[in-house]
Amino acid sequence: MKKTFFNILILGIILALVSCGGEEQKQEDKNIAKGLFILNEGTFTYANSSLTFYDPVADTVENNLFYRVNLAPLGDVANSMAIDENGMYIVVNNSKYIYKVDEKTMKYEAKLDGLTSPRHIMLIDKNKAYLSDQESTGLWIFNPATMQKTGFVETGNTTEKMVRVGNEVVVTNWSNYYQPETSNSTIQFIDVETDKLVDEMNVTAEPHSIVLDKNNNIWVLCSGGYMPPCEPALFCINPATRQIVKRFDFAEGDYPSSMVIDKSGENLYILNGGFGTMDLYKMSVDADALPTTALVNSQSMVFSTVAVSEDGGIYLTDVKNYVQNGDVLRYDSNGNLISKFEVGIIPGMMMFN
Amino acid sequence: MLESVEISASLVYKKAEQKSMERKIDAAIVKSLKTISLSQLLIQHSPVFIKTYGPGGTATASFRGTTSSHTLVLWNGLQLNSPSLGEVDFSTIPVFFTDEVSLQWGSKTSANSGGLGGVVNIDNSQKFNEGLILDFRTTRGSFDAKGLYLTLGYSAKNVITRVKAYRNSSDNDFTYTNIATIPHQEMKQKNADFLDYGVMPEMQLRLKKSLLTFVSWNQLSHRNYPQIMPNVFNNTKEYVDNYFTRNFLSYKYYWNTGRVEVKLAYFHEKQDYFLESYTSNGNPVTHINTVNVSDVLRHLVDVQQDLYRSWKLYVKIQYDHEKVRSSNYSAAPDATTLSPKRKMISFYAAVDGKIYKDLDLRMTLRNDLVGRDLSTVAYDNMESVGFFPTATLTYRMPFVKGLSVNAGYSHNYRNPTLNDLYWNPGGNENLKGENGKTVDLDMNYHYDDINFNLDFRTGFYYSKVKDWIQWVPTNYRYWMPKNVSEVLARGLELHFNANYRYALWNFMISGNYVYSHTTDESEYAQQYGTDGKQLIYIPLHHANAFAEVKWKTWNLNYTFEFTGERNTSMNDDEFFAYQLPYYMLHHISFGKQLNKFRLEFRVNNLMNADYQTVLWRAMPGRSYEFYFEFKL
Repeated sequence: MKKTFFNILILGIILALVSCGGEEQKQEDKNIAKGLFILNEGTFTYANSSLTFYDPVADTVENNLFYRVNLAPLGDVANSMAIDENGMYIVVNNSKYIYKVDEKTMKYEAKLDGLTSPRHIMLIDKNKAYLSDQESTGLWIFNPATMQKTGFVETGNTTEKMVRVGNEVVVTNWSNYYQPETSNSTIQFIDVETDKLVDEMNVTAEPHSIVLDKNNNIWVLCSGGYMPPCEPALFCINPATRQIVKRFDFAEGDYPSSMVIDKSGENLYILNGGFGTMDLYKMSVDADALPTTALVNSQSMVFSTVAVSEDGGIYLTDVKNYVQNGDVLRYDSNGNLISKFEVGIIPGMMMFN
Repeated sequence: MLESVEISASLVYKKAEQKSMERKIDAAIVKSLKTISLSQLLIQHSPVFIKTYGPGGTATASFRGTTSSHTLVLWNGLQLNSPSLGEVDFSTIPVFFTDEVSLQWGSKTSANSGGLGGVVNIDNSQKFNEGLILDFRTTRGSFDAKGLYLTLGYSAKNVITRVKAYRNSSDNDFTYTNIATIPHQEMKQKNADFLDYGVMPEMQLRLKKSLLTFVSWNQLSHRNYPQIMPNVFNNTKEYVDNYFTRNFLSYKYYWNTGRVEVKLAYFHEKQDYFLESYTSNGNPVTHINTVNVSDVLRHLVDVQQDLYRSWKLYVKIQYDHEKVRSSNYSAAPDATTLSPKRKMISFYAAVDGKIYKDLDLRMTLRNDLVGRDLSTVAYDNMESVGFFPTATLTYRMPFVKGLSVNAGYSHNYRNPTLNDLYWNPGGNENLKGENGKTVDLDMNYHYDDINFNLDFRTGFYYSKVKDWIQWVPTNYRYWMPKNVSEVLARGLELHFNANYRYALWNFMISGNYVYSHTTDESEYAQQYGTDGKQLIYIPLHHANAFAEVKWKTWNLNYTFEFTGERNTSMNDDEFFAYQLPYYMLHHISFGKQLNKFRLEFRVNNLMNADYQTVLWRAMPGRSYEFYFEFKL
């Protein structure tokens, strides 16, 4: 008995010593067609952000694209993307860097780091871009061609989403969580020639999304705050006169979280509701009241962001319970479901190339 | 504590009884590994799974497929789990401050609430009449790791005084391959250094029929936390400063047929967690600067009385008072911090004895009352949480000597933590306790002869925890804990230990294998399609093994660890960031005893394995350590 016992032990040790697990992964080559990128945030501090590409013509989905091409993770909490003639830029918030990749092959090209809490990119020209930041009070200026920081526009508030109106960039001041002395209920105007703050306007708390319509008015969606009581509202502003053209207040308890505008600048698409009740509403920029009927009912899905294609097709991300892969749902312009596909964890920003 | 004075009339019975649903970590192993942390000891020598963030980083336990807050840690019988977090960081417990480490599960956890997975007991004990106690140990290792451990004391006939003191530090600047950068690159770990100090004075006084014990456990540590691999270029400062004093006083009185023990404990702990980044102009942005101060008072009366023949009665009455002051509970950054309080009274009774020749029965029943309040004066009314029964049957097979089978049923609960109740934002004051029912089946085999002994144990468990607390998303951007999950944990444990002596040789091997399958079967999980999926960071398989060869005064030890794949999300995908690959580690040590001196050379991670225990947390490759000991 003793002998058998020790023989088994020795065998066990030898087996353990010789086996070394893990097969080598190979980098994949890609050639990205026309379609939709979906950036999946992943879980905070887990660095499981990922990039998905959807080809609507072939109806094919490629998940974990960045990892498969570069054999490295995208990083921790990928927040936004931008694309120009130089390439594609992916802002990774909690890793505090921007990755630049080839827009066709997804191969890594360069990195810009040393940022505080990077959020969104506004490309000004091929050698200049603004980058908003949730902790630093202003906008970083960088050269997207060289991926070097070139300056900083001090605005006194932290910055979030941006829209370009002529020679100005309008930026929302969404959060004062890390800068409690600053404003989280304003929008600011920056002159792109001088890189200076030229004006600001008050809205309600947490102006999140900002878009430009066909009339050259800007629309600002304020979630109203992250803890009740909140003051959720939608503003239509004439950027030239700095006047509020229209204001729409949401009902107490509403949480409008996201807004985009279609290509023609005629219709706003707004996500509003609560956890598991976030419905999609469509609203004409000429309307005088908030829509009361949802275009797409969440049916207990957890919608997070919306994108609208050139032909009016609607894409919605469903983040489910935030700890597993989400879905993207594709609807026609009337809100009829066409298809659904699985993406990564917490699908956030979507962008057409 | 000091079992040597216990009445030994029913010794044979006691031995069998002790073996059901509990196991002591081999005393010789505990003794030889005094300079490591309890987390390392449990990883290498127990079935408890430890999730560690790396050397110096947090290490929490998962016992029988549950989570860290379901592993109760009892120090000399009193609960150490933090009232705010519910868990214990095993990396902060030096084996040096313990004399005995044992594990309990199933119905053996019934005397306290909280141990739905199991209990890790750490106890202090010292024999009387041993004279001068002088023990000095020091370690020097890779990454400038330094340890100094001194025990000084005197053990007289009826009095013991002993002081233990230690200092342990490491720069932890090991080199690793960062597979999260492009391209992958060799890097030095940064900001992972730590420094721990501790002192533990103890006193024991034996009177005619009684024993008085006092132990004071004091510790101070500064730990820097490194960034995860993709974030290594971040200009971020993160650290935890921790200080605690844990004081324990016990009075034990014996009579012919029983004993009573009164225990009092006061635990005070202060923790400062700091996280800072820097803005465009170099100004710091403080993300987290929380100070948590907890004050815990525990009072226990524990009576044991022989009844009739082998039957014994155990009664415990415990009163606990917990208070936490934390900036995490305040309504706004400038608001006064809140100090939620909780008090608990627990009534516990157990009987055990023979119901037939080879058949023992143990039954327990507990009733807990809990009251809590946020304000400074009044408490909510104390409310009964319910009655919690357990029953265990032990059958010693008459036809196979040394073979016994245990079957147990237990019902227990766990209070929500104060963080669950009062965290701002999200804390949910309406949370109920978690409610767990477990069925156990154990088989033990023990074989003994002059030169050889063998212990073998296998156990199956099946437990269902209702109202399992999980933080879930809300309408707003913060999450809230809710009693949404219904967790099924089932599995198998195997343990063996064998010793063989031959002339001047001594061979020892031991090992553990655990299969734990833990899933959430609640409606909530079904709604999101995650029912039936293994919970994150609980490996389906893990194992360890230890072998030692001794020849005269020389010894050679080998330790093996295996950790299977672990989910880090609820996805089936094999994407690296969703499922961590399995890994195996091998450690060896080689030592020589020279009279009162002992020298040892240790190699950890002998094969230089590249692995991650927690996603994107760098772990050291091969490292070396010298160990020196002088013991009077």
